[in-house]
Amino acid sequence: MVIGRTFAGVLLTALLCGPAQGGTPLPPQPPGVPWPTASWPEGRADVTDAAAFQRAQEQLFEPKGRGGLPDTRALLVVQGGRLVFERYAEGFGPESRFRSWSMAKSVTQALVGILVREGRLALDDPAPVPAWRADGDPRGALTLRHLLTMTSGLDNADGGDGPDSFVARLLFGDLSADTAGNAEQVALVYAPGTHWAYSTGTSQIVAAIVARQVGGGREGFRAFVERELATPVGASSLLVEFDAGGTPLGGGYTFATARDWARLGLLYLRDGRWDAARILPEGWVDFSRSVTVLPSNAVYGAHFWVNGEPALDQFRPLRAGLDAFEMSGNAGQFVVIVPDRDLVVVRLGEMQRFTWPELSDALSDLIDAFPQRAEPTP
Amino acid sequence: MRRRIALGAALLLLGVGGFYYARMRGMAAIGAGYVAKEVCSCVFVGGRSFDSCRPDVPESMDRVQAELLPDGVHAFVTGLASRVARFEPGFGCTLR
Repeated sequence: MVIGRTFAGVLLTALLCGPAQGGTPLPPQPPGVPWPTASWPEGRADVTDAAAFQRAQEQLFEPKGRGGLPDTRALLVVQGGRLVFERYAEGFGPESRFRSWSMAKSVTQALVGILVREGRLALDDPAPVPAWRADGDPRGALTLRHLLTMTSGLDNADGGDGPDSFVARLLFGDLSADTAGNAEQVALVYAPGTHWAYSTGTSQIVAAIVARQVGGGREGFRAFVERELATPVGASSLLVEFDAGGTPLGGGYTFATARDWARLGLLYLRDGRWDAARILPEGWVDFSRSVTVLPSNAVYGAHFWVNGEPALDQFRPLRAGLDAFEMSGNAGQFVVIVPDRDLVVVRLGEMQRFTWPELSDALSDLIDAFPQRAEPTP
Repeated sequence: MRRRIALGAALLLLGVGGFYYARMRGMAAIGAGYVAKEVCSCVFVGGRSFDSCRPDVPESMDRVQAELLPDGVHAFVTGLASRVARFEPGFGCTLR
């Protein structure tokens, strides 16, 4: 019965909603601009409104929290593949490693992409979670696509900022020793693919799938991340943390320097290609920024946010209408990928004085100060 | 009758007290976990000083005390909760 409903739900979703595909074409690396594998090529910012850019970047470093530091600790702009702006709060610099909060989810998604490219995982196969494999378990129908688009229907949504919330218990409380196991052991409360709910637990399930597929425990996972992602793009500072049971904290705790966060952004801006290599499979970046349109979702792709008018009660990352998709995390972490302006914008830090709308507006203004690319003639 | 009322009131008080105690314990446990993990990662992975990291923790967790260990951070609310996050090179900080 439940299985039947599940299949009907999936079918209905596929027929009625379907993901909104694609978007602005992703710009290739301009000829003559070296890839930033070893070091970032630098350049001058080409802005349409220099005053607006200046105002926005100063605004981002304005509000100071109780430690006397500005909320924004790092702000980088990559335009046309070149680092054109880089500013840090006092005491921080290019060597400083910053925590991701939920931007870790996008890194986990990249690791899934790599395994899909290698043919070791498939988006639409039943997700390889041993706990769901019993006969008749309705969760057996869940796929990586459901998990990555936050439409699993599992009863493990983050549930707010309070100490009783699922995410607080998962990362810091009684569920923290086995994040993936605890996130898996919940009921299915919606048919897969029919309801969107943001869930760090779901990202922990995905991180555990990646770790199992790679094998070798924490060491094996770390070696895989280095070999397949960090080293090829030159993001040598990238570090994923783990829970006490050895599951990577791919839902919330990944560290990297601001320059390395920009490298990860550039990988997505360049459609998953890096120099001569393809790191993410063809179509993966379009999948990342495709919104599974539902009454409960208008701005979430696949472990990436997309801009638009959010659904009721849904979080709004950046101003609607900006042609961008982004990694985004608690306290205003951002790696924004802007195809129509050939930009990557990185903002890292805290949010003690800023409110989300203020920060979102300042960052949107900053992006708006850059020109849109001339459309290539067909 | 009066004894019954007194007994009822005492039970009620105990119940309410117990509820708040359990709630405070729960909040203290999350707070200790949060502070231990955040400050440990900030110091050992982020490369910052303990004194610079501490004010980044939200004010709502000011009652959680923290001490720097040689390889991690111990955070606690006396009598209610205690957690340790340990640092290992290459793996960052793990909440124990």
